[in-house]
This record gives sequence, C-alpha cells and structure tokens, in this order.
Amino acid sequence: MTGGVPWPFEDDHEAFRESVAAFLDGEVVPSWGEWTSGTGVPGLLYARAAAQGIGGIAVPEEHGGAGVDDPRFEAVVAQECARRGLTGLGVLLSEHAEAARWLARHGTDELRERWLPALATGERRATVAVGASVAGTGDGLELIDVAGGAGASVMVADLGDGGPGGVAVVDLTDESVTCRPAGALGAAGVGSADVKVPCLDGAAVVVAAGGPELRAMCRRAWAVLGAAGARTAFDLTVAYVNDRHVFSTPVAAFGNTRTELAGLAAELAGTDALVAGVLAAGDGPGSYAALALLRAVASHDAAVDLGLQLHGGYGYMLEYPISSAFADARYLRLHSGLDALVADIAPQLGLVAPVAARS
Amino acid sequence: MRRRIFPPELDEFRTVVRSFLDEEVEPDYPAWAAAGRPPSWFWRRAGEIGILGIDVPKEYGGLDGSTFLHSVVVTEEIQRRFLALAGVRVHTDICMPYFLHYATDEQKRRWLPRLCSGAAVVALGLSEPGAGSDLKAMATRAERDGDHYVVDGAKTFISNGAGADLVVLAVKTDPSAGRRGISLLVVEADTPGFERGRKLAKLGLKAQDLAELSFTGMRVPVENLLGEENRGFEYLTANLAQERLSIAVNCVAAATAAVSAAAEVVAARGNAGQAAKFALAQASVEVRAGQALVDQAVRDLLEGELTADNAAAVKLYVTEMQGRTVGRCLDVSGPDAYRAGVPLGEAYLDGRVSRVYGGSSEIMKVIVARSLGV
Repeated sequence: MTGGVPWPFEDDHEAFRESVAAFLDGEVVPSWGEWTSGTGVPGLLYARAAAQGIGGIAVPEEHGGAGVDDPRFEAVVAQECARRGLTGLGVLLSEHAEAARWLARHGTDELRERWLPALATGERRATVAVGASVAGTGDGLELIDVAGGAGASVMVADLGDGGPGGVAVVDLTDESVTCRPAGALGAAGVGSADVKVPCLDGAAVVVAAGGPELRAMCRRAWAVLGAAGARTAFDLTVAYVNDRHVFSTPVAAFGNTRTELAGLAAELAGTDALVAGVLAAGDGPGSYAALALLRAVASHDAAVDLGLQLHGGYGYMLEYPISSAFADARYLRLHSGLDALVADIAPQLGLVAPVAARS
Repeated sequence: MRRRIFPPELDEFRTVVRSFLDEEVEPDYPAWAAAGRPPSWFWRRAGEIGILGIDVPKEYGGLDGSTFLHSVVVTEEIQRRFLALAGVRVHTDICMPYFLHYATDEQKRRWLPRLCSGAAVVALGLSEPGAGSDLKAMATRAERDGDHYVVDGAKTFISNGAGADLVVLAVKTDPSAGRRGISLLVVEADTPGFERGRKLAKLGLKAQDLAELSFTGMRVPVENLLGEENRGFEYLTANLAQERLSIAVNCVAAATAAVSAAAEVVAARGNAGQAAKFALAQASVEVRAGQALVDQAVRDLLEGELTADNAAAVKLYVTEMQGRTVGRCLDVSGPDAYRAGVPLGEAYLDGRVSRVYGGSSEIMKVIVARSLGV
C-alpha cells in the first residue's frame, strides 16, 4: 500500500494492521454485500471492532479507552478498509474515531463523561459533519448528506468560522432531531443522512473552540482514505491488465497502458508523499490537511477513472471491484467540502479576504 | 447555438415522442430499473408510435419518410429525461441496418414488420468474453449441416439480450480465415439450444437490458443467413460509423441535460460562488462544441459521407466531453445530487460506460491515428 513512498508507520502500527486485516477479512468482508444491499450493517459491528482496537482508542483510559491518541492507527484502519473496497465502512470508522478524538481533546467534562465511554466500547457510534452544507435556520441547524448520520448517536458538527462559529455536539437520539437517511450512490453502507436540528439549545452543546482542529483532523482522515482508494484502484488495474489479453497481447503490454499507468503512478506518488507527510506531522497547521484532501480526492478520481477504462467492459460490471471503486471515489470527492477547503486554504496562502469578510 | 439539422416536419414527431415519454414512460420508469429492462408494453407502444420503424420502408411497416434524423430526435428526447433506454437505439440504429442492407426481400417480409411493431425486440450478438475490441477472435462457431448451421458458443455484454426475440448473431463459419470467416445469422430466441444467461449487474443504466447468451447445438436455418457467408465482418464494419454516431448523439444529449439540471439546482440555491458558475460555463461551452460536431456528423451520415475515422473522432470527443461535463455538473450540484433516484447523480454512473462500449476510446484513437498515416 506504499507505492514506494515512506509512510510514518512503526512496528506497532504494522502489527495492528495485521489484526485489522484479520478482523475485516473474518468479520466484515463475507457479509458486507449482504448488509449493504438489504439487511443493514449490524450495530454490534462497532463493538466487535472496538474490541479489536478499532474505533475509540483515542478515548482516555479514564473514560474506558486505550488512551492512544495517534492518528496513524486510524490511518491503518482506513487503508485496510480501502484495500478491500469497504469505502463506506472506512468513512464510518474514520468519522467515529475523529469524533471521539475531538471530544477527548476539546469536549467539556460533561460531554466527555456523557459520550466517551460508549464511543470507546463501540456501543454507540459517532459521526462528524465538516463542510456539509449548513443552512442556519435561526436557532437550528440543517445539514445535508452527513456521512454516517444514519444510525449514529452523536454528531460533532463544525459550525464554521463565520458568525458565532464553534462546534456543535448534537445528540442525534434527541426526539427533536430528525435524521433522514439518504441513499448515496457510492460508498455503500456509509449511511448518509440529512440532519435537522430545529433548536441547538435543546439537542446540542456548542463548544466555542476547536473548529479548525476538527476540520484538520477530519480532512487528514479523509485524505488517507482517498489516497488509499487511489492506490487500491491502481493495484486492481495492474493486476487486471497483466491478466487480460486483447489482440493476443496482454493489455499491460500496450504502449498506451504503460504510459497512462506510469503517469498515474507519478500522480499517486505525489499524493502519497503529501498525505504521509500530513500524517507524520501530527497536529500540523490546518491548511496542510486541506491541501492533502484536495489532492487526494483528485488523485482518487483519476485512478478509478483510468482503472475503469483499462478494465474495458468488465470495468462497468459490479462483479469487478473497480466499478464500485469508481462510484465510491465520487462520494469522497463530493463530501470533501470544496468551498470550506478553499475558505481555509486561501488565507494561509496570504490572499486577502473578500470585502464582506474584512468589514 | 441554433441547430440547423432538423427540418420543420420533425417538430410534430418530436412532440409525439415527447408526450409518449412524459405521459406513458416516465411514470412507470422507476420499476424498470428493478426489473433490469423495459416491459413489453413499452416496445409495443414504441412500435405504434413509429419509433421502431425508423428508416424502414412503409411496405414493411416502417415509419414513412423517416431517416436517421428521426432517431436523433428520439434519442435526444430520451436523454432529456435522463432515461436509460438505449435499447431503442440498439434496435433502430445498430441492428436494423443489417436487415435493411443485407436481408433478402423474403427475409425483410419475415422480420421487419415484427421489428417495426415492437412484437419483436432485436439484439446484436457480437462480444464474447474473449473477444471485445478484437472481434475477429470470436469463438462462436457455426458449422453447416445440410439446411442448417449448427451453432455453439456464448456471447456477453449483449444489449437487449435478456428480452430479445431476435438476435443478429456474429458467428465463425470459417475459423481458419480470421475476419474473413465471420457470418451474420438471424436467430429466433425460441430456437432450441438458445439460452439466455445471466443478466449482468452494471454500475449504472439499471433499466437497460444487458445479458449473456449461450448456444448449444443450436440449429439455425440457412434461410436466416444475412447477406453472404464469410462477409459478416465487412457488414459489421460498414455499420460502425452509424453505431458510433448513435452513441455520440446520445452522449451530447446526456451532457446537455446534465448542464440544464445543474444550472437549475445552482440557480435555485441562489448563492453560487464564482467557481461553480465558471464550472457550469465551461460545461456549457463544451456541450456547444460537442453538439456542433455531432450535428455536422449527422449531416455527413445523411449524405453518405461519414467516414469511419470521422465517426471515431466524434465518438471519442463527445463521450469524453460527456464524462467531464457530467462530473462538473455533479460537483456543483452537491452531495445530495449523488443519490439513488436523482437523475443527475445516476447520469454520472450511467454515462461512464460510453467511453468503453461501441469501441473504446483507445480503439477510437487507433482508428484516428491510422487515418493520419502514422
């Protein structure tokens, strides 16, 4: 999963990778198709995952977690999900982990006591809303297409830097809150939902600080997912073109195939280096993660598009993983929140603010 | 930009087609995605309206005075509503020419009335698991035995395959002769030995019928040979320009529909940033260019002048433009457009195959490169 780029993983991350792989292969892969096409992802899965250290390990020990606040562990989970085409699950687990991490770092004592223990054990699931379309309706909040919103108990929502700002920690189980599930076309199992919170006072606690960090943390997680998705698409394609013969020649032998894949490899090497760098930097400046996400979703798109093309007719058949990979990449791209990314990147580039914001 | 290819006479036809799609097809369409193909009443009604008899002489039940332009109108109206109904143009643009150009008068009387009325749906049986881009590598074998050909083999990626009553089947009548050993047989679906295989689960185009077919000791009468034995590859090649133009017509119409839909979404939101506006502008510009190219190619086709390399160039350009355009339109419309049941989101997945089928973009480049003498 490296493409030659050094990722900042150490021995314990690689050992963890093996246990994540075993968990996914044993407990998820055999049933994922069935779950996402009808029966639904069982809520118990998150507790099973937590028992393997997948989910809430950043939660401090005092609240029942492992007290391991190291995003490289979550990055391993994301990569192993992506490698198996489990994009939706990768998103869900990433959101849960970042929500838990953020609450551990920035939550009030009351919020931490209320939510962290259940998030640590996977008994409850958390999600994050960053860059989701926010329609501020008076005292309330309307968020379109929150990844993982369906079935989550708590949502950590960035309110942006304009206006009062801050982060709203919303109790999605509050009876005033409506979560309308939305059938996304990619990332099967991701459980997107439109969330309406009529009155923040009732169902949420707003924390003044921590918005930029929430955005950076989530963008870093999504960048890892995007880069891993791109890498997976690349690997699937190399395997296919080596195997498939057309005009009595392996597709891999055609000049066009080799040139296009070499170009893609160069693109992905750059992306991997950038995303690995963000991961290694720990809690670096927010816009670095924003740049990584912008780059990762673009590379992901390029990889699945070329990958599908080189698969020929079979690339359009659901039987071949590159087809759903194509659908998944667009989901990530659409949820990367381009406007919010630009809003954070532009000032870091030294660009003066638009007039309205300055006055 | 003003389009100059349609004479006024086509306005009334367009209105008829539009009403059919709006009033009869659209309300029932959601069920077709679950079924994986249109219902038989659709074909009957399409036949009644005349859609299936385009370019066919009236004496055989065809739409009197119709040309490829009528088909362009049908395809445009279908795409205007983001409907995945390419089975219609497979029937009319891709399969019918084989009957029109190579069938004897007796064969035409046997098959054309059924094809025009919608009593029979036709598919083209070409691709095999081991023969996509490289058609001459096909392995489906037809051996002459008295008054019949005995056919053994299998086809895949067959549009209209699950529901076809007739199949124009490409077979190897002389395996030692490469492309000069291919013949076209018209197969009735109720022939013993003809079997419909899997309905293929696709990334998009859920309402479109795509299936595998297999043939085991299937006896096809020699009266069902189209044209001459072993000249099938030549016949297939001769229709490629129209087939590729049919795809291009479809794809520029799809891109046009996407731009309209996205512009509507963005305008309704009322707070479009400059990036979104510029993306839509770019999309609109590319659609105009694609439309001008397609309209030129349609005129060339009607005058018998559309060359294989021009058709390839048009198909390549327009399908790639469609991909860029629908992607941009989806991006500016936002994540809630990327949902089941939202036409623009589904159009993104529906459209992706256009760069692959009907000759992949790579094959189109081979053809164009050859035309440059390189």
